[in-house]
Amino acid sequence: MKSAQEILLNGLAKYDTSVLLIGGMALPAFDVVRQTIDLDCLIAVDDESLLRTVLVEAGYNEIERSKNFVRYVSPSIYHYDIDVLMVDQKTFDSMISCSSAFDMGHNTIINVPSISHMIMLKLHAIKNNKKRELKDLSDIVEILRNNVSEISDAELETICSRYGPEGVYKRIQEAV
Amino acid sequence: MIDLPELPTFDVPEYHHKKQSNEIIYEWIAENVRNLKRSKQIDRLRKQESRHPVDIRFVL
Repeated sequence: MKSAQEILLNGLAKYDTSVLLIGGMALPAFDVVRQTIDLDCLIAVDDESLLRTVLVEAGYNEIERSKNFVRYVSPSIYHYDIDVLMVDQKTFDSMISCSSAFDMGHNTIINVPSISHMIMLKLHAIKNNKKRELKDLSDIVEILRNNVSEISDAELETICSRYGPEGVYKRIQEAV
Repeated sequence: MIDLPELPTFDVPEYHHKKQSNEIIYEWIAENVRNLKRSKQIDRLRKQESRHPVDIRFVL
């Protein structure tokens, strides 16, 4: 049986379309490991219909949709839920150009964002959903602890002021 | 100097079949998800607001 990530990648390969692995499943690419219950991915908004085709063909059901994300659930216990975040093409192109290939095992290679982009996504989530703060802030701190010198203090401060809530840079600095 | 005999070598098949660490990590995550789905606890977790994606578009 194919894994959720294999369904995603093999299916999209037919359409020559890419996704970025984000969220908890992408953390091992930054030497951070924690449990998670779903697979989060990011795709250009115009390509989402292709992803939908792939997932529905594989037995996934769409259970929630908004302008910016879709949640797919599989009846199989062997397949993770898949949350799809949509971004505009320009943002996606910038992120994919800075991404790197990551081997999830079983020869499943998927692109993950750069450390900066990963932190931006998490700050964006914290800023717009306070209830995500504990988990996402902890992820950011762990990413920074395990990737010392990958981001300068000045860059982190700029990212925090642009994407995060007020005062988050200081909180991160204190925790790291 | 004592002339030591050549040390024997052993073929340990487990070594050659040892999984890479990323496979182990994702199998650990998958096993947890299987248990949550089997027990239906996943329904409760899906409803948690802290797990809900943000409905504001991320723009670089």
